Amino acid sequence: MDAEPALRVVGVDAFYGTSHVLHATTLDVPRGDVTAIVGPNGVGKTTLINAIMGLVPIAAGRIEAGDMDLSRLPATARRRHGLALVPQGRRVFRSLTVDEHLTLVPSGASGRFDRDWVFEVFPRLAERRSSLARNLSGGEQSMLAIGRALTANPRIVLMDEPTEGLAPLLVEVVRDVVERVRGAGVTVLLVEQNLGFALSVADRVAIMHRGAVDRVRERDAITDVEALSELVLGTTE
Amino acid sequence: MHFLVFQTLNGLTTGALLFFLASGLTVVFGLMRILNLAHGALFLFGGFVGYTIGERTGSFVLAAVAGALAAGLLGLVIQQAFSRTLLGSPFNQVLLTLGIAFAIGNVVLWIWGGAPRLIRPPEVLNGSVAVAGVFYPIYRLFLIGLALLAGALLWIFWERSRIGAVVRACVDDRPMAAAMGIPVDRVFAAVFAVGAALAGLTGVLGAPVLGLSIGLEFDVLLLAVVVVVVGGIGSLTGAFVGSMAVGLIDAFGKARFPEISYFTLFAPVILILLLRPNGLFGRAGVE
Repeated sequence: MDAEPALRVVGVDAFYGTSHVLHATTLDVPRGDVTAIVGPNGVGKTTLINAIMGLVPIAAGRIEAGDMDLSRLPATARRRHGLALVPQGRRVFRSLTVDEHLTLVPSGASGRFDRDWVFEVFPRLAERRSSLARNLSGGEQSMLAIGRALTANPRIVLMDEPTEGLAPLLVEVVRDVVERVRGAGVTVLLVEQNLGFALSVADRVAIMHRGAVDRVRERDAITDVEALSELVLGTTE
Repeated sequence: MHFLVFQTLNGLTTGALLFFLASGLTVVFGLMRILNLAHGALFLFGGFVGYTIGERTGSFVLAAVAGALAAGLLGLVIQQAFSRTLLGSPFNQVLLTLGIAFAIGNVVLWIWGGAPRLIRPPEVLNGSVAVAGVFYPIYRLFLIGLALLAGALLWIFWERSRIGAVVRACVDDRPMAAAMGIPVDRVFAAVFAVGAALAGLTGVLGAPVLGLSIGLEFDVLLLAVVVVVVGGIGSLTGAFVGSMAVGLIDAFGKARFPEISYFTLFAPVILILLLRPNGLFGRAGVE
């Protein structure tokens, strides 16, 4: 925790259409850890993730990775500075094959996560490597969205509800992948509706309320999950 | 029987030229949601540049290369200068690209004058050969073969190459492609330039058949737009099948019912669109 954070969000305001979604949001994401953002629906979790990736413009504040100010950079440049996104709703490229998704960008010199690595953790994708993404099942598309982001070999991976709609067995596989990614020294920022999943992988939970990160709890300091759950759902203040 | 063979070959010739023109138009439309109404003007500009180079050097190949380069460069300038406006509302796009089309037409008139020009086909492709009992110009047969070859090469590039995959990713989901580190703006510029270059190349390739004259740019634009709509926006396969279909319908319609050739062209087009609103190879749900 003493080291400089991998990612800093400082006083960020952002709009979704005309509605003001993020209000002076501030969050430090420590290097090499898994941080989960939790909170009720519509609180701005996805907008925050998309603002960090550069898919949503910010109206105020700063987003920094290391000593690099990303605030005004387009998404393409943020990718080059080590960010990658597993978006909400998977958003795979419908007319690309599985293989093409995983070889779309060069894996870099120290390409730890390449296509073969993805096929090893998601053997199902290897079986469907020549299939077009639009013909994949929802679960397969989720695996592909995760694999696609990792083949870019990011230093920071943003995951927006990677377990949404997945069968319990597949949730376990995703948990294992997140563990391995963290084990490789990659910083993970995760948006999760599933509090159980979030607590099982995250080192730290950031709770959002009304468009801002309200408080951050270390996983080890969380003793009363029920109280946290109530906090997340906003039933207590 | 001779009529049938002759008009079929005429239709395929027109289809071949249309394919070169429409492939660029449909990919730009699919990628950027821009209907570039200056596409025909780029065709004419490329053709006239090719004419001048051909007259100076006597080389048809140099004329074709020059026509493609000149139109490609002009396309790139247009794209760079107006990229913000071009990505705006469809209404702005229509007005802007139509205005550019008229501007290019006037520049062509200013430089080359109003007299129609003709580019002679290369020496080796002069003359005619017998095809199924009909004597037919070798150059036109060459165009049909060239379209088949270009169609196959474009398809392989589009479906099988990594660059093709990058462009398809931009077509499918532009923000996600950017988030994967793909330089989307540069992909757009390159695709627009290549589409324009193909239009310029078609101007030179088509000149021995169609000639070069002011006004031709809107005739060919109309046919190319029909091809894109019939084939399905953004589909190369659709552009190929649509080009050949429109070429054949146009040839037979003009030969049999010259007075109502627009009707014989558009009646089947309307029928196709009634049955398949997204075109023959278009996908449902293209915004």
